[in-house]
Amino acid sequence: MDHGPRRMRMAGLEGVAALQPASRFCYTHPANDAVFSQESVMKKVVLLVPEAPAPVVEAVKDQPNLRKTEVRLGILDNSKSNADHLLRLVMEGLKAELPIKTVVAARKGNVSLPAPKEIIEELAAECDFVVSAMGD
Amino acid sequence: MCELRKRGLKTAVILSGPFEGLGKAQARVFGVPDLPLVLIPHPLGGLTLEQVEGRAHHAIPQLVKLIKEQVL
Repeated sequence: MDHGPRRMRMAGLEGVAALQPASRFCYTHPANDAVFSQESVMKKVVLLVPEAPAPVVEAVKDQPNLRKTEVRLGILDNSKSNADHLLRLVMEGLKAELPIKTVVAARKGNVSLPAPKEIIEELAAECDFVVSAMGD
Repeated sequence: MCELRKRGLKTAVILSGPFEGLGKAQARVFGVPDLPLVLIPHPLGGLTLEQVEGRAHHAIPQLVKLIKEQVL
């Protein structure tokens, strides 16, 4: 049974329906064939607001701020065009200017997906600072 | 990168100018609004190696500053 505009016209709700974007207006009634009053229909109207709630942000807990004499550098290439070249040049530039102790380089296999857990774990365990390039 | 930052790791993301807004929005949505963004001129894709080198020269001083501030 169609519960759409025809039902609403039967109940005298043309004005209400016209004001509501279709995606935000939903109405149901268990008695499919009943003709009901505007008041009874209004009690069944559910308005859906397509807005996601604000994300709950937990404060980042930085690792102990122990100043280091050398840097364990991490490189995460998201596999976009030229990101590999850019990160290699960046790594060489940083090595020339800073005491880089080690470099862990990783490359995502799919630009559209988050880095695999094993890459995250390795970078988190082996690096002090991680650089990623998203390219364009 | 957001996942690494959430673990307390020092991180930075290199991106080109037009993606700054997207980068900030994603960082906020994923819970790390303070994720450092290193800006380089747009574009990066399709450039020659010499042109990519120019982009790297934009990024390196910003990264050196971040690492000195946060790690060394």
